[in-house]
Amino acid sequence: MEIKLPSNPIARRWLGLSPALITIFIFMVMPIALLGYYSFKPADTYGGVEAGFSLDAWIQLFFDRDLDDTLIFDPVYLQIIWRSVVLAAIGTTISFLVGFPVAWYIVQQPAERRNILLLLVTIPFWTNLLIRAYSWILILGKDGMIEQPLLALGLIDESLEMMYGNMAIGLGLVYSYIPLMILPIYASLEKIDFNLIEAAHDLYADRWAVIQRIVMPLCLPGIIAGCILVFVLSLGDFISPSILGGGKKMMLSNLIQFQFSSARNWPFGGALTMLLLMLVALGSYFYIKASRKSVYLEK
Amino acid sequence: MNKPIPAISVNNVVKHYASNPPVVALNNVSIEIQDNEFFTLLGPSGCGKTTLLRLIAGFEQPTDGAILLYGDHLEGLDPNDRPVNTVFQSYSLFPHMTIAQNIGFGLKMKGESSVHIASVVKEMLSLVKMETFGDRMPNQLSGGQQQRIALVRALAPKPKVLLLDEPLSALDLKLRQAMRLELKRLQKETGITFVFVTHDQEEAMSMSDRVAVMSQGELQQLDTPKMIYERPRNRFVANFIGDVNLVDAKVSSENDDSYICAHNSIKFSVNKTSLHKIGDQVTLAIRPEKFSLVTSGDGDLQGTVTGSTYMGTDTYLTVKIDDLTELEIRCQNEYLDQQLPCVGELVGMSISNGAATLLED
Repeated sequence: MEIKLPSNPIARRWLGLSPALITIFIFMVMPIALLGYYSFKPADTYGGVEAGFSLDAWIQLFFDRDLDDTLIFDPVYLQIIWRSVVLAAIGTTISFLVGFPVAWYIVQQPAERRNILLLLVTIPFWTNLLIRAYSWILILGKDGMIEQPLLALGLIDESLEMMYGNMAIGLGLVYSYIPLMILPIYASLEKIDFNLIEAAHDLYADRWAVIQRIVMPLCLPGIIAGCILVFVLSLGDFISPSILGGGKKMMLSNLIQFQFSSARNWPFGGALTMLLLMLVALGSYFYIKASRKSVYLEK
Repeated sequence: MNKPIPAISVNNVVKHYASNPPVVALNNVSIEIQDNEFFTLLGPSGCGKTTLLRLIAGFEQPTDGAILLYGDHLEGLDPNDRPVNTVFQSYSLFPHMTIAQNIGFGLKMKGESSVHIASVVKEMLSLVKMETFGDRMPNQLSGGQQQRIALVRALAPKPKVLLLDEPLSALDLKLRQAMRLELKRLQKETGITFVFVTHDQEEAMSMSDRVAVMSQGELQQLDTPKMIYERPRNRFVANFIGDVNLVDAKVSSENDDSYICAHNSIKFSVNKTSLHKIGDQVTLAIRPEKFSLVTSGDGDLQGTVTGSTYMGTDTYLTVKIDDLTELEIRCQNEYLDQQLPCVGELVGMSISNGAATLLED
């Protein structure tokens, strides 16, 4: 059978792109559009949505409805959103502070050792995140691996209460996503011409100045990519807050999951999802825009 | 009278690399580089010249021996603590900085004021006649322009010694020739000691006050370009710089300061550059242009022309003087109708006085 390709080059280009476009449309655009659509519908008490149009879900984000139907500003959901953003930002910062030196160290190793170290960085990915999250309970929890010896030695008298709080969530976020910080930074560090580093040393820059003025600016694309990846995934993370946070300290994703399950408020879940999406898109946009300025001029 | 302190003293420096198999990059090298000198390290790749430069810059540490800068030990000092700057083969301009920021980088790191930096940057740009380029990015410059900026970036902090690691090798021929003159001019204008690394003998000859010829991690000869060419110490130097005829001979008699060496019936008078006994087998080096053609039967030696190659400025003739020895001689093409002997013709040749050099090996 002979396949006839359109002669128009633009049509041909769209035809070539069509598998990717169709995939993105079905698996990304449609579900998100559906959630957006649901957020403007009245909730069905048993889940799903009813016919009609309603702004209730969006109003619920900011206000509580009093008994006499007057709206009172209620920051409880905004607080959860704010906590999510702060935790994700802290997790991203710590991931960068730990991940950058690791990537820098790996880049300076001989080639064979680099590959082994990179493999070690990715090894946690080989196990289910859920299982790894549970194993943190064994480490951090009451009578866990950290507390037990300290208690036995008499260094502490009671539990340190490390689990089920912001610290445990933050730790979980850093632990889960730090490879996604290390790998892009490594990739851009690897491209740096090491002669530039020698040249800077030669021109009286000490180690810190070399990192600050040569290495960091040149691997900025990798740093940006790593930070966006870690921040976005942290903001939407579900496992760390529900397992390590014990579900007590809710993050945005727990709240969303809750709306679709126990609360059976699909429109509100949809509104929260749209908000999360907007936050991520906006954050990434400003970050990229701000850092573009400092990246060297294009030709 | 006090002996002036050398800009750089390299004392018995050894450098080993613990690779597999281990490499001896420098084997007991000692060199003194004088103040305000254009000094060249010349040799084939792998001879250790770049290693020596990196040791002076501080990128690597010697396995043994010491390097002194104007009498001060450099041992243990990082590159950023040495008042020495390098011009790199690949230029290595910082791609995320403007040309002015590149030039000012060293001064900024030294903590100079921005006013001072701005004035030095301006001075440096005018030194290479690129006054208007300050705001451009390195990738907007041609190779030759980048090279000039790399040069003044290293000069801007006024180093005591400037190290140049084959800085011209990436440029095309015409640009390279222009840069040679420019480098020489900059060295004279700034009065800074230049240590120049190259594998190009022409570069070494045309710019240097003195040349150190290196091979296999050892210093072969250190002298002025003229003496390196006219009085090579050994086979390596004779072969590496220019073309040469190596003639086997036997020491037949000696005077106060010269030997008479005989190749069959041909006698050469050579300076006593190394010590030999009468009867010793020696090798003489004679440059191809030291011969001049005379009528057959006249001159110091006779032979048969076996080859002739026209090269523009010169014609290269090969002349067989006995069954085992062929000499290359060079005749300048002075005028259009010049008649040179053809292949198979018998010729006589005379050698200018002092043309032959006694080699150590």
